Amino acid sequence: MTALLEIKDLVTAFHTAEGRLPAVDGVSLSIDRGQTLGLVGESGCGKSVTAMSTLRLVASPGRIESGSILFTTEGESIDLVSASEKQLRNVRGGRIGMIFQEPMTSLNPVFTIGDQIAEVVQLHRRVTRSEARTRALEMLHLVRVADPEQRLDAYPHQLSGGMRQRVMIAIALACEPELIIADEPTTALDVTIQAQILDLLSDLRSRLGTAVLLITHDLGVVAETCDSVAVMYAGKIVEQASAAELFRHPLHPYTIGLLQSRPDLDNRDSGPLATIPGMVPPPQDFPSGCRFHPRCSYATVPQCSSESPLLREVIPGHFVRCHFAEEINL
Amino acid sequence: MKQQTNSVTEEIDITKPSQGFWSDAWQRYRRRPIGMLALGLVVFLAIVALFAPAIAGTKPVVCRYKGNIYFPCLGYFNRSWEAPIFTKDKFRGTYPTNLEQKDSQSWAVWPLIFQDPYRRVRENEWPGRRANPSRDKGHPNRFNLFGTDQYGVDIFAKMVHGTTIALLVGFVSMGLAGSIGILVGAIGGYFGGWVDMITSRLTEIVMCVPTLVLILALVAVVEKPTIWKTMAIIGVTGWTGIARLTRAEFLRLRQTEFVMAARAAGAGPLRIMFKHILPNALAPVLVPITFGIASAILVEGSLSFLGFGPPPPTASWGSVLNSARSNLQLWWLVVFPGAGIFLTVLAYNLVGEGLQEATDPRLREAKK
Amino acid sequence: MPGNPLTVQLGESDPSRKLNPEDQQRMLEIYGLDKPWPVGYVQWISKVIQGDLGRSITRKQPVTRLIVERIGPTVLISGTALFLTWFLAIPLGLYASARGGQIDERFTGMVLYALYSFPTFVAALFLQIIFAVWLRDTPWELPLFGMSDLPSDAPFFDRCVDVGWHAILPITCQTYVVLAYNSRFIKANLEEVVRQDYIRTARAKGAGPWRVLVHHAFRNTLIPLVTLLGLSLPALVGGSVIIEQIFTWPGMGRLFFESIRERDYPTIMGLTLMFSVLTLVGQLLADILYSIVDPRVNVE
Repeated sequence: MTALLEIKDLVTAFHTAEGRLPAVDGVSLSIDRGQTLGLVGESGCGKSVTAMSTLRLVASPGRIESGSILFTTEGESIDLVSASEKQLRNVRGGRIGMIFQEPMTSLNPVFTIGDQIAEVVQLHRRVTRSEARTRALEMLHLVRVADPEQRLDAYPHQLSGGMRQRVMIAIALACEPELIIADEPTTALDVTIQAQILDLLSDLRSRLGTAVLLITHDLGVVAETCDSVAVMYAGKIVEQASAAELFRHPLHPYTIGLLQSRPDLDNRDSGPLATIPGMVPPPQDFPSGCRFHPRCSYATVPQCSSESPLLREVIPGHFVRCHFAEEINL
Repeated sequence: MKQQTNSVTEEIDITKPSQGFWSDAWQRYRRRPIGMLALGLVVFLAIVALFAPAIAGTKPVVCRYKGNIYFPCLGYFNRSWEAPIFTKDKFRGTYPTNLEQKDSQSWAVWPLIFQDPYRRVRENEWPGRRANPSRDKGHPNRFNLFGTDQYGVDIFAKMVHGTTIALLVGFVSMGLAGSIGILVGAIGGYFGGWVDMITSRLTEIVMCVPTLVLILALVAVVEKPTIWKTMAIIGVTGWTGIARLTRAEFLRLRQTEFVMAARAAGAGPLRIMFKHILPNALAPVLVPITFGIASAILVEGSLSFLGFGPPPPTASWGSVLNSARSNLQLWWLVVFPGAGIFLTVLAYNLVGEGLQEATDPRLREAKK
Repeated sequence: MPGNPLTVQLGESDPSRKLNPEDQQRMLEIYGLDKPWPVGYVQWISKVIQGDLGRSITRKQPVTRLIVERIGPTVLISGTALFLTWFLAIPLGLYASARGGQIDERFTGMVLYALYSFPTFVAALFLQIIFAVWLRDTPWELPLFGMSDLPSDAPFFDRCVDVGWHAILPITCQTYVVLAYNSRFIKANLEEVVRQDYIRTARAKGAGPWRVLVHHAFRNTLIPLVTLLGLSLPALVGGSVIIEQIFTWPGMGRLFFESIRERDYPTIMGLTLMFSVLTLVGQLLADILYSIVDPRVNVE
């Protein structure tokens, strides 16, 4: 069965005064129907740009340079990279919904909540205004907003961050899309609200069977909610596997480092928190060879600094981008 | 799993020399070709303004007379700078023939164009040249590049000397406006509270009256209009925008850490305001000042045009346009000064815009 | 005070005649010119509050009546100019924003920028030369001066057309500068708005480029636009002084100019007050509109 979304060798680069910066440098991912894929990485690794590229929402001076994004629905496949504007607009909001990171600024301040939810319905279905409004009300119920009838006519500035994010989810789900892309949906929210939103997302997922591409830097969230995980570093996928497999047997040094650096409540006296030395390199200063080698404790000269490793299937279903993946883990 | 001890770790050099704010802004400004063009024009105008007497005039730039060196052309800037010996010897402003007659050893270096912005050049004043034509015959010709006005006074000379006046008006009035505006804004923004209330209300009251109306009202009150009084009036009415911006900047910078550090170190308010905050607030304030120069030149032009400028004979561009009103068939009276004002105002506006883009803090943020 | 109105008047009418001192003193008393000016100012304020703007010295009429006479022509020019500016600036701004960066937009942008820096009085002179002198005796000719050439008992329609014909040049001069500025303002604002996150949300919903621009972006641009409306009133008033003078248009601006020349202080003060009031009204209007347009602002 074909995957719902298949990203192949996507390259998205920014052409700035400092040159060409490849934020997404040959990324391949696939999501099946009803599946949740977590895309993890630190800030600046390119995961948000990957998400934006899917719907061709990358802000200038960024541009999708090559690759394909196949979206298969109702037996038809379209390549979102080369699709026409009209086709793309059909997909946006109608078949793929998107939730952004900043609930505070992602809603238009001069229109009511009800109008904004109804808008997405009216853009994709032939409905009357009152039918759209009814649907908006339904969605508010769905995302568990208190006092939905009153909230319909409220303006964004009258709601809290958590509520705004619920509204964003409502907008994303209003047309029953097959895929939701959630770009760090809880990063800008309080911890307690985070838990609520994640709960809501899980619940909706299981009820509606929507596939989810979850972008996050939080490994804990990924462990709880995702079927499969892809780890991204400096514009490339460095490891990809099912969630269970990744957490049990991480193979890439970066993933190992990330997992080791999580604070462990059960093991409080185990000494200082392990960290990965160094920082994520900016696109203008990508290291030669393996992009992780300057921070890698297993890196060996000369291979790691001169040859760029390929993404290989080391164990069935488990892909790693490392020259020495097998050796490190034996 | 055991980790191997490190074999290779590169040191990532994250330090890049940080450019000063102004050189950074200059780099950004340089990238816009039209901004550079405008800046070039501004510099060109400044040069013309500075060397006006050497470009067009009837007085020698430098001459030797009876054994001494003199610079009579400076008389265009200030009457008293023209050496008294020429009055004593009854030159009456006519240099070519007098110099030759009264001292055969004399020599002179003449301005590029022999014309006078204040009076008509007479027959044979320059040996062999006829007098300046006037009225309908005064269209642009070999001796009068831009034509002459209805009295026969050369327009090119007026344009050149008018540049000096225009730029002087721009800089002096904006200097005044800037000083007042920065002072009012700084005091209000820094001290806050009731001081701020007073300064803000003051600013609002002055802003309330349309500028031209206010200027005209003041002109009515002033006795003998001279160019300096006009400059003062423009300066005294044009500070409100600058004050508002300065106030906003001071309000913002007052909360910053370096100000708090200065206060913790015991610095008094005056020192903090002018040594610490002002240099940081200056960049955005320069923008309205630049626009203000353009606007001041425009206002002076309008005033002279309406007849409120300094009395004739003046060489300001606006006064030439004033004479054009009753002589519409002499198109050169409109085209040249009109183009002059237009290009000058355009140039300063473009420079102001370029400055704005180059120093906009939000654009700096967006680049990260 | 330099040259009081009486001396100016007399000087103009007959330089050799002089009022004898007693008569002069009497006239000074009538017009309140004999008291020191702070006292005079306070007296003026108290009269204003009662609705009395005093009498014009040179025209020998109540200032209020003069203003009422002249306000119509000024509103005709300035009001039409204001309307035209807004009517044209919005589509121009939208167009410039939609086609930003393309050749045609950059060209129009440059033209608009040049227009914005082009002084109105120079433009007025140019237009006068072209339409009144060079095109004389052609159907394209436009009248130079005044509001109307026809006597007041001529048929109403003909008079309207005649006034309209006379008004073309002044209105053009009043409009183009503000138009250039406003459309650039709208374009700059739209560009800023379009960078916002909620525009990205709108596009993620599947909204097309026009809907994004006109429905989402423009609605947010209205907010600063409305403030600009209030602020453009004083500019219009100031501009009318020059324009009305050039075209001999019998409006408030011209009255102001003439009263300055004549040193007619009651009229000057009355008009200055009038202009300031207009500015305040404009700002108030802007504030009210602002609270309507921006749901984040509470109406007081």
